[in-house]
Amino acid sequence: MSVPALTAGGQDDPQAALFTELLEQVADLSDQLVFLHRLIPQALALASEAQAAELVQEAATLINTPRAALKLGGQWIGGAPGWLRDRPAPRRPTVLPTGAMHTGAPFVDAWRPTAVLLIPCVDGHVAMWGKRQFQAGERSLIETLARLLDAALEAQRARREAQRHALQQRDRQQAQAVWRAVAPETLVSPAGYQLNLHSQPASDFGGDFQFQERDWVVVGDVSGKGLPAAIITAMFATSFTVAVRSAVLNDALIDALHDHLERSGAFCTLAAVQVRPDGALRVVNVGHPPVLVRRADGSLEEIRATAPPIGTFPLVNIDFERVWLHPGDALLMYSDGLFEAEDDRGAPFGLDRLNALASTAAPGDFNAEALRALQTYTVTDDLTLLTLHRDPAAPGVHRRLPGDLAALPQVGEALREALAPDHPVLLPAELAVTELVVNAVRHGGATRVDLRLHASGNDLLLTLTDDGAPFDPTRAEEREAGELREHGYGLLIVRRCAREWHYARKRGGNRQTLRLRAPAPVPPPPGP
Amino acid sequence: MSLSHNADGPQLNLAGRLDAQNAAELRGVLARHAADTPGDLSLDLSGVPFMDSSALAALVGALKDRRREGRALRLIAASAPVRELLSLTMLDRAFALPPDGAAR
Repeated sequence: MSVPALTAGGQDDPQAALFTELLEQVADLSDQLVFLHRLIPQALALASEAQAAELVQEAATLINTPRAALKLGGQWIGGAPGWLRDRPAPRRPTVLPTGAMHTGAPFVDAWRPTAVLLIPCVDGHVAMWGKRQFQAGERSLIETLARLLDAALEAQRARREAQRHALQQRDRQQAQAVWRAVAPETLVSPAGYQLNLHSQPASDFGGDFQFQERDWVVVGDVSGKGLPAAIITAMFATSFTVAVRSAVLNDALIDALHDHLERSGAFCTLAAVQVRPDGALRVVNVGHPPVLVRRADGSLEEIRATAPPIGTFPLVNIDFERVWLHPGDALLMYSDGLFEAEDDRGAPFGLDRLNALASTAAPGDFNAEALRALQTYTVTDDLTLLTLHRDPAAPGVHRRLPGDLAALPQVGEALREALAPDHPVLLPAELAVTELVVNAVRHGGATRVDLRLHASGNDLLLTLTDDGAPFDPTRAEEREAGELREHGYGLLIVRRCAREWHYARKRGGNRQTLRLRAPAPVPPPPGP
Repeated sequence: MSLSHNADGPQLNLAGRLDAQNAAELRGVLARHAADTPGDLSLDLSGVPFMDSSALAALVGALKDRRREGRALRLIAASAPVRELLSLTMLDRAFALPPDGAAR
């Protein structure tokens, strides 16, 4: 700012000189105010440390000193002369008089003898030099500048932090959206079934998952939580999708899953069920808690894991268990979050209570009943409940026979209840089922035999359970038809009618799962 | 479950359900008839609504016994369920069962 020429009083008047000096000071002060006025908005908009250094340089120009430097976070922003570089930070605003500090050769950027102004700020300090002395007003102006820099840099840090946080939030939301695309919160009920899903993750994503691919419903649990688990799950879902499209599901799954999981050091449990409209299911359990078959009358069959979790041991083979869901029967799948939930004394919910609940609650209410029972428990893990309930209104028959051959006529009665009188499988089925019941009673010593059955087109789907001694008739020795002998026709009859015949030993009993169909007539041998 | 039979010389008519429960009884009836009546046996099973493999085994036993003695055992008629059983076990030819609907 220019100072108006003074005429009053003349040069020799000491009062006029004093007045002139005062006016100059006022003018300086005015310059400083103008400077601050400009500086404050600039400081507030500070976006980088380089801009802060520019601001310091501007301030130096204003107080008529040519050089300035700024040190922040241990770094000189935009460089500093050699004589200044290693000087410790000042504890308080300091003016070193001319000559107090050696600023000349051999230092880089050497300077003639000069006073040095040093003003600390929170994260470093401001240095100015290049004139013989600094006025008190100048010093205080630069102190103000330092406070302003502190505030501006702090605001900048806060803005950056907020931005980073917002970005993280956005990433997280996007990741969660991706996760929900991989592990949706709702699944579609297959035709003829009611599928209920409760998916309650412990965090935004990761851990338990579930998805559908073609006629498969898959639930699982990836070790770990959060993003790494979510990534592995997405990878897994993709592998599974590819695997179910492959002809050799077994090999494809093993190849796709095990190697990758082993490399990543993660492991994964899995329960997958292939759902056919006629009630025929194929169930795979690899390291997952037991899947429950809940019959319409409340009785339970467990489908236990046939292999440890994928990624722990090399998976040689995946076993598929065949199960028929007859009308009203249900399949219950759940994650460890359910039975590992603890009450306030640390006692777990437990599998016994889970089984009791599964048996007593109507399948359609199981999820809700389980959540109600969990109200006094703390669930710390992911919680997934999936119930697949076959339409109870579909026609089907359940008949419990005593272990007594006098009850054999009931086999035919049960079949005629489920099948039309002219159904092609009716006669062969009565023969086959009678043989199975006779075997269970006579050879297994069964005291009760349960028949559950329903028709599907030309087929009869039958589940026969008995409490007899363990015996797998599907492995019994096969006999030739047409041979004249006095025993061994029973299993032959079953084999000729059974399109599928599966055996499983279940808690305290045998379970046979059969798909029966009238055998094609044997062509007569060529004439004599 | 009842097994009733009436013998008209070489023809034996069986009626009632034949299964694991009364297969032993059937075995006895067939053995007595073989002892009491010389010559061949014609068996009518059109009155048997159901027969299982245990009863079938009894018939096979009787057939083998008679063959050893040079005598024959023929099925001259059978209900649909019995035909189904014979067809499943491919024993219809062994018992010389005429096709369904053929004259007795």
